[in-house]
Amino acid sequence: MAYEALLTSLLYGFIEGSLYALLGVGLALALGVMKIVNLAHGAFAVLGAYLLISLSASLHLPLFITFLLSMALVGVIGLGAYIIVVDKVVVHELSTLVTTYGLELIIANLILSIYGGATLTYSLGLGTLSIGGVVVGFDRLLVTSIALASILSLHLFLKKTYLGRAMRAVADDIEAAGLMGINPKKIYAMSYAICALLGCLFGLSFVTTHYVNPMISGLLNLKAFVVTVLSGGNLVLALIAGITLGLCETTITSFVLPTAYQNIVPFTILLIALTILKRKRRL
Amino acid sequence: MKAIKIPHHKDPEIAISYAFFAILLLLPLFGGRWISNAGLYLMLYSIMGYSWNIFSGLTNIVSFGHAVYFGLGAYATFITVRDLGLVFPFSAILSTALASAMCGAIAYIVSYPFLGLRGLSFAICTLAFAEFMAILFTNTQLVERGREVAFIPAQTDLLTNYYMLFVLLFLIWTVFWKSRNSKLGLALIAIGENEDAASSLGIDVFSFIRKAYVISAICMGIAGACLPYIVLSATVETLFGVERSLMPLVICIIGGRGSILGPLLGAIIMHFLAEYLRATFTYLHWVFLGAIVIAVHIFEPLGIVGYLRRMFGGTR
Repeated sequence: MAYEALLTSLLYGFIEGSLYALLGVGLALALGVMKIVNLAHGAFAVLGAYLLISLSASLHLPLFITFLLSMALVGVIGLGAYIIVVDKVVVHELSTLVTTYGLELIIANLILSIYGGATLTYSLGLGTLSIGGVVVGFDRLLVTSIALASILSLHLFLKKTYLGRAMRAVADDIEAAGLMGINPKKIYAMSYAICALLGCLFGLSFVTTHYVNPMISGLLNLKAFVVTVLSGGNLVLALIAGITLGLCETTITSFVLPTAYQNIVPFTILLIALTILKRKRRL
Repeated sequence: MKAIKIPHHKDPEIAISYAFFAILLLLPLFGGRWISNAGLYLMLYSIMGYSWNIFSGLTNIVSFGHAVYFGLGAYATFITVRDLGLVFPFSAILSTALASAMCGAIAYIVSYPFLGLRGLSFAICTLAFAEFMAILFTNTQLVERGREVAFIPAQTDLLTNYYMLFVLLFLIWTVFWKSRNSKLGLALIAIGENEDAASSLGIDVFSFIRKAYVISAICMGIAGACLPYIVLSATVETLFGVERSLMPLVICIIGGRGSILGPLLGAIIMHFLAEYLRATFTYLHWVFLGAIVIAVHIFEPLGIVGYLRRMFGGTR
């Protein structure tokens, strides 16, 4: 039994961790390209989740189209948020921190005032799979493969396409990139929208397997930040960091501490990682 | 970053603050219960604002986690009143002393790992620390003791609370502007403008910002210690929640960070906006506050005080 419990918690840790990696790469992209910490990231995730729930309840379209529709809406909202707010303060690192926090307050509390604080989920109803005593839902396997596929496609996008290479150029040296005929403003807007899309994709995956409420956006931000800090912006490392976080959470809450302490794990990792890794170094 | 003016004794900000204090002193004599209650919360918010201002306002190292010290201060009051069962004048003295001691000690300890960080890392680190403490206090049940809400018996009436807070606010305000004009404040402003330049001029950066952080934590702890006397009940969420960390930040940004008058003005706006909006639309007050913070950041980074200075031609 102990063997199966260990296997279960490792598998669930892997699944959670791949989702955290998906959440973290969005934040890492914004941090790498624009040098900002986008504290509205968790709010975009929650927004995506609630859009999926309300759109599927009101429009009755096929699930795939509802998915795409919510992603498109969040992408447009992210682009709008960049143009209206973030663009004005993007040069000051601390101003962006405070203004994106303001954005998060606006989005999360609007959702809260519309939908109330109840926890919601959107079950796909796919049934479960049993492998050697470990029971896992097909929906979890589906969202894990979505997360891994999106990280892979983001990697290919950044390496192979013109736009992705332009983003990496701006991240390296904004002035030199400008001299090579890249418009940094456009790249900034594009990467903020992609960051919002990745957050939304996480939200869509998260709501099908977990219960969400508008107040989790702050927690999601911090988990994303754990991944970002541990990975330093590298996509492969982000995947490893996310999975490490997921494994730490599930194994520690299964075997060491009671479940109520689950959220203390990312904070402890974050505090240790920040104070040891980032000491005397500006992020 | 624009230069922050160092005030002398004829500074209009200090004069206006004195006028505010005179109004606050006489307010309960002329206003009714509602007005006194509004003044009470306004002073509590101002204390929180000044405590944040002394560290983050002057040094530009933004803390997102001052709720830790607020919560610890409130916990000190629960210890003295509920657990030790002291009566009023002694309980208030002991709870502020205990709150100062606990917050000062914790701030001194965490300053070693935290104050090596700057900018975004420091902000996120303090945010994580506040959440960490919230989870710790929720699970150990130190405040609530297994109940839904923790209560203390009423020991003071409205007027006693009012003048207790008035005295504390006046003390903390004096500490703020005196230390802002002292060597400590000048060093902090220099660090906020350019840390490397300040360090090259022989300022011991770490020891100055640690001093400011400890003072700031103690002031926040005193604000927290006052809360249970006013509302008589608390939950971990109301003490350590993100809203508590955010309040002083929003107050100082709206009023004008690093300024002597700013937190008073910010607290007035915060209180009335929050109260009216909370009464009308339940969760929307944070939407409006978020929008105001964004607007202030885009249009007037130094807040209301910055705007007034520009309009009335302050010497800058």
